[in-house]
Parts: sequence; C-alpha cells; structure tokens
Amino acid sequence: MSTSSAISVTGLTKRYGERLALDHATFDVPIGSVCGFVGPNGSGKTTTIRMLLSLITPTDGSGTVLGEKINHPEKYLSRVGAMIEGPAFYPALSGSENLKMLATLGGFPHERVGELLELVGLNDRAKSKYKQYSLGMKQRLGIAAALLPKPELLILDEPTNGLDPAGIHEVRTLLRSLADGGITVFVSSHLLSELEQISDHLVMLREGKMIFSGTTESLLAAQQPTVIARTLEEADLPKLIAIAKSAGHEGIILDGSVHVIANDDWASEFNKLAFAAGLTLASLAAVRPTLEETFFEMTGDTK
Amino acid sequence: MIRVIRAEWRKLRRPTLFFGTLGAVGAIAVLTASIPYIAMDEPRRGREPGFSRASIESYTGLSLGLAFASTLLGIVALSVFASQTAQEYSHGTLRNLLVRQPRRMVLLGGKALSMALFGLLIVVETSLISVVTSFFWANSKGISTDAWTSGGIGGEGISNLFTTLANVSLATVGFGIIGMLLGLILRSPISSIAIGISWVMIVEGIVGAVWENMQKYLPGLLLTAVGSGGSTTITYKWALTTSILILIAAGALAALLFKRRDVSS
Repeated sequence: MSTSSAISVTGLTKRYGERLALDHATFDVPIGSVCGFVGPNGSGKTTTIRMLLSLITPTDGSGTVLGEKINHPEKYLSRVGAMIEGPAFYPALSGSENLKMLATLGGFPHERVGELLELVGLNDRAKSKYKQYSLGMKQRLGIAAALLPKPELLILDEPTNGLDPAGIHEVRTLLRSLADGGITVFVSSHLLSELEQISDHLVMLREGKMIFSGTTESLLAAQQPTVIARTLEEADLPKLIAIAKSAGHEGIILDGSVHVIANDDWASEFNKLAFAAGLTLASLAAVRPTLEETFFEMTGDTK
Repeated sequence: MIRVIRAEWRKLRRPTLFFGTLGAVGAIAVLTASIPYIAMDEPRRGREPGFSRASIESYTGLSLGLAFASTLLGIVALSVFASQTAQEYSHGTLRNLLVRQPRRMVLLGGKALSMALFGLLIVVETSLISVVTSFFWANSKGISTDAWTSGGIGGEGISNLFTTLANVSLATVGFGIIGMLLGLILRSPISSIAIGISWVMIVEGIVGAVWENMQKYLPGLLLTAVGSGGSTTITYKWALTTSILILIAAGALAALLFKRRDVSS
C-alpha cells in the first residue's frame, strides 16, 4: 500500500455463486484527488464501494482505506463520508431529523446539520418530511449526510442521479471545491462525461474487471486527436485520404467525412495541401476525443 | 452503545409511531382492565363464571387487567420490534447506520435495548391505566378494594402488581425479540409482522390444541404463561426457564445473521 493513497486495493474480488461481481481489481486513489470511478451499470462499482465500507465481505483480495485495512472499518469510517447507491433515509422523518439521527449515531455535533443543509440548499425545507422531497432534494440530503463527519475521504455512488443540469453543475463545483480543500473524493458514475470535467484520476471497470487506473490526462493521451474534414463533393473524399497518407497520417471515411489521426495544429497544413490539390473543404475541425469516446474505444463497446 | 440508543429513540419518538402506539396501548389497557368487571358473575355457556366478585376483591384483583393485557402488549412489541428492524433493510438505511457505527454488535445491541425501553414504556403505561380503570370499575360496582391496598407498598396487593409488572415486561420484551429476529430474517416489515402475529395467534393455538404437550415448547404460549404468572398447563418456572433459553437462542441467531450477512440492499 502506498502511504499517499486514500484507497488502495489489491486483487479485490467478490463472487456471488457463479457470477463474479468484481474480478481481482487492483488500484490506488491518491490522497487529495478527485477520482472518478467509471463503468456501465452492473460493472461492479457499487460492489467495490460496499467492500470499501465493509458492508459486504470480499471473496478474495485485500484493501486499505486511509491506511487501515478494510476488515477493520471501525478504524477509518469515522473519517469517511459516504453515499451508497443513492440516498436512503426514513420517509416519516424530516431532512433535519434524519441528519440529526446520523449525527447522534456518529457522535458529530448537531450544529453541523444546519451548516450542511445550508451548503446543499435545503435549509428552507429542513423540516419537511423526507418522503415529500423531490429526487434532486433527496440526492442533496444524501450528500449532506456524507459530509457530516467532515470527512478526509468522501465516497459517493452516482451522486448526480436525478439532478437537473444546474444541480449537476452545483455538485461538480462542490466536489471540486472539497478536493481543493484537501478532501479525497472517490465518485462513481456511469455517465463518463460527468466525471471527465472534475476528475484528475480515474478507475474504470467493465463487467467486473478493471480496465484502467491512472490519471485522466494519461487516459486522454492514449487516444490521439483527430482532424475531421469534409469536401464539397463526397467523391473527393478518397483524394483527401491520399493527401493525408502522403503527409504521414492515417485516415478513414466516416459519415461523409474524412477522419485523420493527427494533432490539431496539422489541420491548417491539411487545408493548404487540399487547396494545392484543387480541393475545396466545406468544413475542417480538430477534435479531441471525450473520455466517453476513449472509454468505448478501450472497451470495444458502442454507445 | 449510548449513541445508538439515542439515535434509535429519534426514530421511535416520531409522533405517528410514538403517540399512535401509546394510544393503542391505552385502549388495550382500558379494555383488558374492564373485562373482569363487565363479565363478573356472568355464566359462560353453562360453566362457572370466569370472574367472581370474590376473585376480583382478592389481592390479585388489582393486577388482573395488566395480566390480561400481556399477550396483546406482546403483539404490539412484536410488531414494533419487527418493523423497526426490517425497515432498515426495506428503506436501505442500514448501510447508513453501519457506516456511522461499523461495530455491528454494538448497533444491534443498541437497537434491541432502545426497543426494549420502548416495550417497558408501554407496559408501565398499561399498568397505570389498568390500575386507574380497576379503581374506577370497583367504585362504580361497589367492589371492596381493601385487599388490593392493605399493607401499602409491602402488602400482598401491591407486591402482586409489581410481580405481574415484571412478568408482563419480560413477556413483552420476549415477544419483541421474536419480532426483531423475524425482521432480520425476512427484511420486510409487512411479512415480519404478518408471519409473527399469525404464528403467535393462530398457528401456536392450533398446534397447542392438537398436541397439548407441545404447549410447553411454543414460544408464544410460553411467553403468555410468563406474562400471566403461569397457566393451568404450563408452570411459571417452566415457562420462565424455557422462554429465557429460547430467547437466548433467538438472540444468538439474530446476532449471527446481523454480523455475518452482507448488506447489499
């Protein structure tokens, strides 16, 4: 285990009968980072999170959270905030009462409840029963509950589910500011585009197997940028491919355009070469792949 | 442990549950304390009356209502313990509780103790209402209460009331522990309560009627016997000893399930 890791797991495995929910996952989450935990539904994200919180027992493998072994959760969970698989509270209690109950259980001061309700924008609905909350409000209450212990590590499972675009933006900003304040954030999502903007580290799963663990930059660097060009006449596209190839770049024709693997600064050169060959470009764009596109390329999946 | 008990009480004291249960228990107390006076000296299908004036005027008269309420209080406790335990699974709140208190035995013990306190509260409420109702009926029916209060706190009447209070408390918490075990096994409030009540009220009654010897081993009948200080077929000593053994086994099973089982809901 690295001492600079908030989370470190080695060969972590969970088997339910014949089905492997998580297959020998090994990864580290650096202290102070926002680490995106990415994978399609059913890929093993929630299973991993439950094992980190000692809610389920690993079939095999080991792990540490904040330097303590995961089979001794009493040594680290007081420093961890978590929301697992969506918010879960008592419907007949108010938002405030739900948080006070958890604050009492964890031994945290009740003054924290008011501060957190204000932070997540629920102070005016603090006394409303949880069952009267909208999905977005429930999600924000879940985030408030996770922040009760002033955590060193925040583990959030799909925290933006049910939020509108403004709410999603607020959560992203909140997570980034928490990380800037020194909290390690481990956040899962099946929407890769959500995490691309805030994560500086990524762990990616697919069908229980870990397919990537590293910095977001290194993942994006794995995929070369593309220059996309379209001619006035579609019949001229093979000529563009030939021009790109003569300049040392591979290209393909896709959806009526030529896609050439090249850095964005080569786009102007490509335009000159096409013009010199008597071709007029209808459009020309340099595109960096999104994290989502990179992910699907790596997993061989299609959207 | 104290933090767990205080946290549990935040849930137990919510108005619908707290006042709803106390209200229902109050009604049960009035009803069970009134039955001996309403049925007094009334023949039962050719048999001797169940409650004679002499038996009510004896030192046991003051605790008659409380003893009759025992099984009904047990049903209330079974329902409350079962729903409070199973709802943690059905609402998914158990995962929050375990993140904030990862020592599972401390959490389970604290939950059991807080619900036991709730069980004791409803027994005390029943006792008070039962005593007041008994004096009201005695006064209106011209029944002597001298034997109830003679000798004061150390007298037979008051001593018997406290003994009944202790027996009913034990039986009520015992029924509650059965409810808690059902809640842990079934993880659904409705299923736990339905199966628990059906077992205690119907299945045990049928089994006990068909095989009389089995009455000595059925937890619901044993706890009822504890609550009423023994019955014609089960002695108090047997009922108490066997109930405690069954409850220890139930508690151990509940602890094992709670400690070992993955929390995946």
